Amino acid sequence: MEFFVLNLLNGVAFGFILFLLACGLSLALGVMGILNLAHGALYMVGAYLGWTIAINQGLNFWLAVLVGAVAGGLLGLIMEWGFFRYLHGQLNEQVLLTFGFIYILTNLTQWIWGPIPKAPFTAPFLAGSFPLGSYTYPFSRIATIFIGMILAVALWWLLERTRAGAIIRAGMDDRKMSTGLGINVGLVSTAVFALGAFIAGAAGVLGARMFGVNLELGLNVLLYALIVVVIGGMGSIPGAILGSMVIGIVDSFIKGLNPDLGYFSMYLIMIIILLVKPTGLLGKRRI
Amino acid sequence: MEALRVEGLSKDFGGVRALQSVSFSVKAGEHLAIIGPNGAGKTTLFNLLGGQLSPTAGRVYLFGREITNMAAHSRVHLGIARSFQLTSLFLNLTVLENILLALQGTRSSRFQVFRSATAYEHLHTRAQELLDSIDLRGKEDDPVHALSYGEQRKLEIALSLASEPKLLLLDEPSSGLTTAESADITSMIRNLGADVTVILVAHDMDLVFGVAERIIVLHYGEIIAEGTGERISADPRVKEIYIGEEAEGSA
Amino acid sequence: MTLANLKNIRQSPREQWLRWAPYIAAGVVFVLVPLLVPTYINSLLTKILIFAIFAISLDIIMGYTGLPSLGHAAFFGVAGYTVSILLVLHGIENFWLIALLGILMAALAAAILGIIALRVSGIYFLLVTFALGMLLYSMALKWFWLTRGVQGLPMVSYPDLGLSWLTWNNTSFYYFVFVFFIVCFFLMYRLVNSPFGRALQGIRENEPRMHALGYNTWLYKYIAFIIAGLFAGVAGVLFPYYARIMTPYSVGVTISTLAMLICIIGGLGTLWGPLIGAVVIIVVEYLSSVYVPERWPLILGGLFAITVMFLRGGIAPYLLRLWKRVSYGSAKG
Repeated sequence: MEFFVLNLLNGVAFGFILFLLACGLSLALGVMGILNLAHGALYMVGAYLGWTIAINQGLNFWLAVLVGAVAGGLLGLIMEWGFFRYLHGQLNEQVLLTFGFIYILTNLTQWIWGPIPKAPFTAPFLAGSFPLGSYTYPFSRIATIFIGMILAVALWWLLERTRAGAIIRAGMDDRKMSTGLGINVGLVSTAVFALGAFIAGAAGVLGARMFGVNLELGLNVLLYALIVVVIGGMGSIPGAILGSMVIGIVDSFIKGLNPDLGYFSMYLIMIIILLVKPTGLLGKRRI
Repeated sequence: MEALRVEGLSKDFGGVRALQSVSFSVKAGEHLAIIGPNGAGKTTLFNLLGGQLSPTAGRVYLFGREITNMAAHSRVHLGIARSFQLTSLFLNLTVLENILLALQGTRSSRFQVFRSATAYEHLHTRAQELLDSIDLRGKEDDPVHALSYGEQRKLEIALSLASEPKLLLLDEPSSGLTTAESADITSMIRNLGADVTVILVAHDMDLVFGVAERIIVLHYGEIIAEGTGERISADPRVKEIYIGEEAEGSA
Repeated sequence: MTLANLKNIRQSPREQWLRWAPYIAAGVVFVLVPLLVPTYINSLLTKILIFAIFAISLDIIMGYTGLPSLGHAAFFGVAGYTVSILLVLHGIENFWLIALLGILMAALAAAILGIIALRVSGIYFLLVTFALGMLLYSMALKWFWLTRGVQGLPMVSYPDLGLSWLTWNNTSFYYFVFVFFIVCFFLMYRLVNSPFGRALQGIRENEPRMHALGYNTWLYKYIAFIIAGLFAGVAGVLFPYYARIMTPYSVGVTISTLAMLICIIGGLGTLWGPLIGAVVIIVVEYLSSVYVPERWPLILGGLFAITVMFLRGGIAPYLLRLWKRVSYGSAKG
């Protein structure tokens, strides 16, 4: 029973970090048809910058989150404005370019911070744990769940209940028509992309306790984010939540039972979903 | 001899019933035209005949053989060919390459991995013949995207003729063409020979009356009239669709 | 080069010479140069040719058929591991035997993975091939009993051909690989100019139309996928002898994207593209390892970005346009 609750909580916390990561990826795909494989690298940069602020400089944790987020957002803006807006619909080129970004960002990070991973960290007031049966459970993970829920609700509210959100959803459904209606789709796209990148950067700091701060983050978290987007459906926020929870929980349980199997199961799930329902469980857009 | 028989063909798209229990047959060598307002289901019907879509209900028989759910490429080998309403060519390849691909489609040599494609003399000769028939000699090496719209439409039809089909489905062959170019198409269809069955979807009435021996009128997925050109023009229901709606609109 | 060109134009000796010039130039570089330069350069040239073969195999499905695959290193790795496992763990030394098995294993892997991957297309195909590639990578990493995991399988440096008169060194190994390259290049040349190859391009350009013209497009894609796996296997069986060790890295996404980059830089869907791309990438890699070893990923990433943003179509088409201008220019006198 304890095992079940523990892994469930872990899974949910993990899931929310994944959600933060995946929603940016999903929105970029859904709104602009851009596959940004460098999304995980944005997370990584956020984590490292957050470490510098929070640990290296000893400043406020939430400031670190902000800095990570802003860095992510800026990088996202550069990527979109300098590169992606010329590459609409060109899948091969997008893949190559974003892989290039992963290499560039990872190597630059290594140059600046060195090859040795930094210790996982979180806000000081969240550093402890509380007893849960015969285990202790970290506060930071509960906090992650809370923050994740708040952000998920905020994003949902933004997309479903605001005018800005309606514009974004219109752009996703029918780009040409939206332009015809006088909406500056280019601006909206850029804004959405930057928002996703902003959240990814923040996620890097928020997830630092769970995922750590190392150079493999770029690819590792990307894999998870891709699987989430595939399962949940491209361009769907509820899908991203569903996908993150499924992956987060399944992964936690499998790792709890047999750590080695974790790798395989993720890819197998991804392949099965791609073959059976490529648009994902809740996906709208068939690209 | 029956070239095509369609029985109770229906097609649903989600909640929309695009075709409703359509039944008709076409004799070998006959020229049939299918007309009707936009959205009547004409292209859907062609997609079902060509194999691009599978029907929700009903059957299709080609020369007596059932092909209802057969894959599109297999139907070509049984003698069906179609042209597309939205020009579907290989835009980045040359005109000659387009025709050669079309010619190769029903030849066994299409699986040849070692011999050079240029070694097939008879195909090249046949390609030149086809090019002559659509007046594009001299443009073999031009990329298709550089051709005018009218030339592309002609090439579109030439591609469907390449497999020497026994049943030819032409979807709006003259759409967007000038009167002169349409006349070219009309005479081309007339010259196809007695053993080629043609089913034509068109809005251009000159083409329809110039080519078709029989006309079927589709409206909201159902056949509402069938017969010769004269009978159709006189049919009050047909008039109502084409002219009646205009009168309503101006009211 | 169109078919009409090849058939109808009577060529002057000068034009003929221009047509053969690339082959002559490449021949000079790749046949004569290795005899004249220090042996470490031969090592570099060997690596270029191995990766050129690998890139050729990817070009078949990506460039000619239009199937973007992010998992192609899987076949490269399967072949390499077959050879390494048989040699290192089971002591089977005969190159011809283990290489043949390696290539067959790669083709088999392609036959299996192809059935899975070809159920979808476009971005989904990309993601499925990516996942399949990562699955194989995980296997190579975790199945210590088979692959010795991340530690890898250290190889003998030269193949056992059963020819006692042959002395192996960098140069003779280079020519050995060169022969394989020539064969692969020739086969690729025949393939892309054959009716089958033309059909692949038709599928890339407009698959529904090909379907409506009588081509069983799924079958074409599947066969192309297997052929590509086979060629990747050829590169894969040569690689362990060159690298002296077989590690999971060679099955991974880095190698897959490297091949993609080589194809795109050189020119997707061209005959010479893979070779040109391999030369560029591997030379740059070598130079960076000499001058700025820590920064190779940065440079590589930069190359990705520059290629994508500025080198549309790749180097080979650019050279081809240049060539055409030169040769037609001289025809007009």
